[in-house]
Amino acid sequence: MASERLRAEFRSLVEQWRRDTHHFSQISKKVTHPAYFRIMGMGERAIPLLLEELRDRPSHWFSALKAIANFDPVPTGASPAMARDAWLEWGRKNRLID
Amino acid sequence: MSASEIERDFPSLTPDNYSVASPEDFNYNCLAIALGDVTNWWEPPGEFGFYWPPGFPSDLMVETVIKIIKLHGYIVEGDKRSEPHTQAIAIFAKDGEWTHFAKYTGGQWWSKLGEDHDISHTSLELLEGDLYGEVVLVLRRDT
Repeated sequence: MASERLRAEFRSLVEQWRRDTHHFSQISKKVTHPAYFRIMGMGERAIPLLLEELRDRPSHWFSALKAIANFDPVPTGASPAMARDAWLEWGRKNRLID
Repeated sequence: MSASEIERDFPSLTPDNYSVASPEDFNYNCLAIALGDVTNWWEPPGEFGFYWPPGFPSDLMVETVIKIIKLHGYIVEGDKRSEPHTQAIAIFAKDGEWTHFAKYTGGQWWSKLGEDHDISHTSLELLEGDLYGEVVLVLRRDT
């Protein structure tokens, strides 16, 4: 269970990232935002929070998840929706989210 | 995002000159829907969740994407100020790299704003500015 302090910091960074990059047409530009880097810098503690965010408000968190988990459950050629499903299934299997 | 957040990023948009046309959707971007695909996010380099047509350079250059759009039957229109006759795609760019695409169909312009909503808008100039730069080319397709 993430601490309230960690959760609050995560939420603040997510909102900052969404506010600044939500209208970008290129994910490669979105994932180089400082808030995205700071979330990756939270390490494994951020994984359950990222999975919750992906479940509740889908967005392109795949690069962060892949970098932190050092694992990629997404099959080659998957669409964003398929990538989301693969990560949520992985998270449930590992009891990281409901 | 809310209308006020859209209008913050695109200050020329007002309730009189645009309408929200779809829910938010992270599955596809402006290039994808301009070319008729709402299931994938068109962007090099082909990492998961991305799609890029095979055989084209993995870059964001305007010259590359013009070739991709032409493959779908579009030809160069030229003047962005002239009203398209049937279907058209406008390329927005900054520093030689594409930033956004708007599609003209059914008598108006349509844009998917990143992961946010699709909107219809009365002119291309409304989206020009810091975020998307300027329209550099319009291609048309007569159907």
